[in-house]
Amino acid sequence: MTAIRLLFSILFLCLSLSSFAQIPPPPQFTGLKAELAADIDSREKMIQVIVDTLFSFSELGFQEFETQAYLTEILVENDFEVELGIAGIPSAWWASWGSGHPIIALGSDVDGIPRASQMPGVAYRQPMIEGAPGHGEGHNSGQAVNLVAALALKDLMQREGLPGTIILWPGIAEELLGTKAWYARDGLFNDVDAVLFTHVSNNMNVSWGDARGTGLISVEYLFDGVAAHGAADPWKGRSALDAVELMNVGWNFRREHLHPLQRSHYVISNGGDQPNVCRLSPVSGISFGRSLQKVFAKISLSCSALPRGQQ
Amino acid sequence: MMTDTQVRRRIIGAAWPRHFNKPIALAMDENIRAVGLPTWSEDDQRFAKALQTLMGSDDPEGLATELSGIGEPLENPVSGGSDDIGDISWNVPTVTLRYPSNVRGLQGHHWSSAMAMATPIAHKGAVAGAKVVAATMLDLIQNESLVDEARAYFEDVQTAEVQYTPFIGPDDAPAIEKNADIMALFKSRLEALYYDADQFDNYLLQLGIDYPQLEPTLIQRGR
Repeated sequence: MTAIRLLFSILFLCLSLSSFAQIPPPPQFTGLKAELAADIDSREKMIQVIVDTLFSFSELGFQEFETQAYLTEILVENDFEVELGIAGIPSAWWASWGSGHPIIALGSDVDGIPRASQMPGVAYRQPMIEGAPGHGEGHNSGQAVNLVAALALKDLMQREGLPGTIILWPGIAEELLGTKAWYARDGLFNDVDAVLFTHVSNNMNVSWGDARGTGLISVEYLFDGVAAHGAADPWKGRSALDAVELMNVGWNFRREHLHPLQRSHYVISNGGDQPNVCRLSPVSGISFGRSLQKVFAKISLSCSALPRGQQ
Repeated sequence: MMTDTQVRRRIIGAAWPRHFNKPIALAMDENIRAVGLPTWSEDDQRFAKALQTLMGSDDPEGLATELSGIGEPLENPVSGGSDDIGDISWNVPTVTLRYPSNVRGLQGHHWSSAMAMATPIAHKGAVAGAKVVAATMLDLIQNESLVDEARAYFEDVQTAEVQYTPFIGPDDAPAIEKNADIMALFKSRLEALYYDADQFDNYLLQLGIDYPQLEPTLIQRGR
């Protein structure tokens, strides 16, 4: 039996675009903040090494194990308590230092992009390894931001006797939107007072309220068929690829009727092995119409949940 | 169905729309303005403009030299990307600091967005970001009312009329097997290129890159 997979993503409208307002004259750091900034300047080397190291690991979502080992070793060396594999996600971690409130949790994504391997510092296309993953969204930089900020603040808290708990956690498989809802579901943030998340950009800013962008659900549909000789006795077979194509055609008709702020993307992640092998389903208890309607009903139900989205 | 096949479904990923905390964002914005953007070198700007030209810009603007300012909600929504920080933002007061480690005008989820990510541009942007994060944490620790205001905004404004209901159910498992096959395929070749910080001052030196390298070398062309 062979499974053919169709991966479908359905996006929900998010609420608002952020605008960027006029900027008043800049304030200046004084006192402890000025000390923190100077301390971070002195740790510039550490930032460079972390950024460059994670770049070279080039790990994809859910497989960030070199990244995990490297960063958690630094955290343990700096007296953080580290728990690996949180929320049933092997490459994730939860590192904490300090005691009491406020509990502040710093997060940033760590995963790369498929086929984005690229030599850094050159202004032309040159993969480091042809076809390999790479940091084509810059997720190699955020943990350096958070870790060095945390270490500088930790030293200051110890010196000044300030209360509070610092937590560092990674966005694993952000490119698949694969973990943060699971972290939340498993209660990791129940006692946390504030989350400061960091993400690479080409300017520096923060926003409040509903942010630009969409919500999303990514669903994988697995079609099961049964193999048969594609030329000798194809009547014994049933093709899962046919089912994938039918579902796709149906959904592409449906696109015409989506709201302009709703989006949908898809990929056929496995279309079969070779043309002369049919995929057969030995048992099918689902009639065509009912099954198709059922599948589409689920997609439609999801889409109708705009704007806040509920399945 | 008519194909006599069977179908199952599984949730791979989920992200709620994001909503960020106003009091913490305002405090962070003060710190952003105090830190400001990094001081870019001429090499950084030459490199950024070369990337922008490569990606089709007729008038490359280089790296940002003015802060874009705090983002406020607009009345009209716009479609766009997603980030699963959205789910966390509906569970605890949350902000996202966007820090300046990359070049504007490049293509997202694309090799061009990797080009600057192990260069001085990425390093300087991360230093600026770390200062903002540290200063904002200090605000939260020293100013108890900020934590209270953040909680009040979260409870009385953000979630006053919206109830967070996760897209995922209690039995949906994370898709932890994803990408294992791809990483297994490339692991040994990637390992050969891991950054060795004991031997090289930076990754560009290890790779033999003369930053900013705007043209391929003769050896590279020969390949």
